[in-house]
Amino acid sequence: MAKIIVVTSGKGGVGKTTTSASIGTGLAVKGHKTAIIDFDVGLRNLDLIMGCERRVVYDFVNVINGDATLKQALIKDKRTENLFILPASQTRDKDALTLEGVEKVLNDLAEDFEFIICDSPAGIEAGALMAMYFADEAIVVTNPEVSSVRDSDRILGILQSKSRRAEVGNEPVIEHLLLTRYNPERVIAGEMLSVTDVEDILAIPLLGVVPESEAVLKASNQGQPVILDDKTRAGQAYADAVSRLLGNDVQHRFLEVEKKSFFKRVIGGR
Amino acid sequence: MTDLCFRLKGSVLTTVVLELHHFTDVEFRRQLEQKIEQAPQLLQQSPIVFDLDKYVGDPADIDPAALVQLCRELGLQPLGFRSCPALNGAIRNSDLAVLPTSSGRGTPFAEGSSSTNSAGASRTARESEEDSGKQQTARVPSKIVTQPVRSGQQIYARDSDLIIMSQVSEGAEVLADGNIHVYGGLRGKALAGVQGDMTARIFCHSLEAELLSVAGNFMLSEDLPEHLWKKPVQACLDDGTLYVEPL
Repeated sequence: MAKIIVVTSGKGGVGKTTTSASIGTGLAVKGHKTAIIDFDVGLRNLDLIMGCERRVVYDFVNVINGDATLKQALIKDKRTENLFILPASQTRDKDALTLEGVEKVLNDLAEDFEFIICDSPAGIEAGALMAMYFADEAIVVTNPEVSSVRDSDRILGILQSKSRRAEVGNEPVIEHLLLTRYNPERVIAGEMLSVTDVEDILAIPLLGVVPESEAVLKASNQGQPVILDDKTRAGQAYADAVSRLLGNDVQHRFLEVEKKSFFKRVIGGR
Repeated sequence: MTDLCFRLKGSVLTTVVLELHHFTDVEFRRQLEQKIEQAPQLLQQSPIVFDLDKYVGDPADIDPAALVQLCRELGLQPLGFRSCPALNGAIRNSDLAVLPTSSGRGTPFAEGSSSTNSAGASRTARESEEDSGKQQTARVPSKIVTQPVRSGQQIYARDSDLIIMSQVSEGAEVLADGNIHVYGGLRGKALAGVQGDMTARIFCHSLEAELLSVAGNFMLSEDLPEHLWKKPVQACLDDGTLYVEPL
């Protein structure tokens, strides 16, 4: 049985696609056959972050409309075994997705994959609803600031009322909080909400805290999921999150201000 | 022994009695609509008996069919006529029951007294809309919510209390005709007694609300006493003014 995980947030620009790319890659690296689907029809980004933009021939909408088979549209990742990407259509809009079409694609994928990561578009409209509707689990990506937290709260409410699990009365969607762009120094300065604040407001279990890092932007621009760079703190944080997602108990890191050693200060640490 | 198809039983039925004083289409409709609006729970789909004992003038002037039709349009279920010898002919044509004249004294509907009349006679509805606004005609179980109420969600407990076992997020709204209990942080809006119950209260574990309201008397977060912020409190009305006190 494939597990369908939606990566969602409500608010835009908080790191959904970055997270989808890294979590999907992390699961595949650990030997789980994983597909990442870009639900952001019209604003396709996942292919860029995964570095496969030149290899997009057919897309999600083509498969839904029957213009291409799933096999033709799935792009096999060149770096990571077991990893496939289903890109969104750039020329269509969100209305091109239908619940029946999405369900069919997910069912077909489920026969052959262990994890299906649905990279949700921002907002709470049709596209986002499609991405979350069939989910078993949800990773809610949140930045430590009030508007992002409120939007995440909103999306959690929608998950628990409008997903298929909610509608048919099955076990509720399992929720995970992933706090991204976290900067402990700014938390101390009172410019950012702390992990505790966000956990208190959203009241869902914490999957991970990804520190604010230049490495994320760099990795995105290079088309390489940041999790593959295990020397970066962000990469390590994502690896921890993947491990927790698979049920392991991993201590949270990067919550406190890093104490730079004298040596590091002289050399100039990250 | 054959299986009995039915069994006849005697039963006492509580209904609303409409004591007609005089009847003109327009005025009757206006007043009845007003009454129903005041106590929709009590009167919507309510069975009703017309009593013409107090009718001023000649009851023969009333068109029973028009009266029945009007009541049905407003959602009542007319059962029959009482105390109306002069009208019997016309009433039979309206297919409703003709009931014997009441032997006891019916309780005036709007006074909310708790007296009942003697055995066998019809009893009027005891509860009225003016009886502290608390309508206890039937016990409605409290609505219990175990999940957090998230931003953008609205939960309304009609005719009952609302119990939230979790938190109420900023941007969420919880409403009840009765009391509201929140066993978690109350960060959104809470409105108790929305149908006008002045005795309704709001209880919460941690007061961080955007708005508290009891029977339409509200307080915004900026009006809440600072020393009670994030404290367990209750909010209720005292002489029409909303106040918050620690639990």
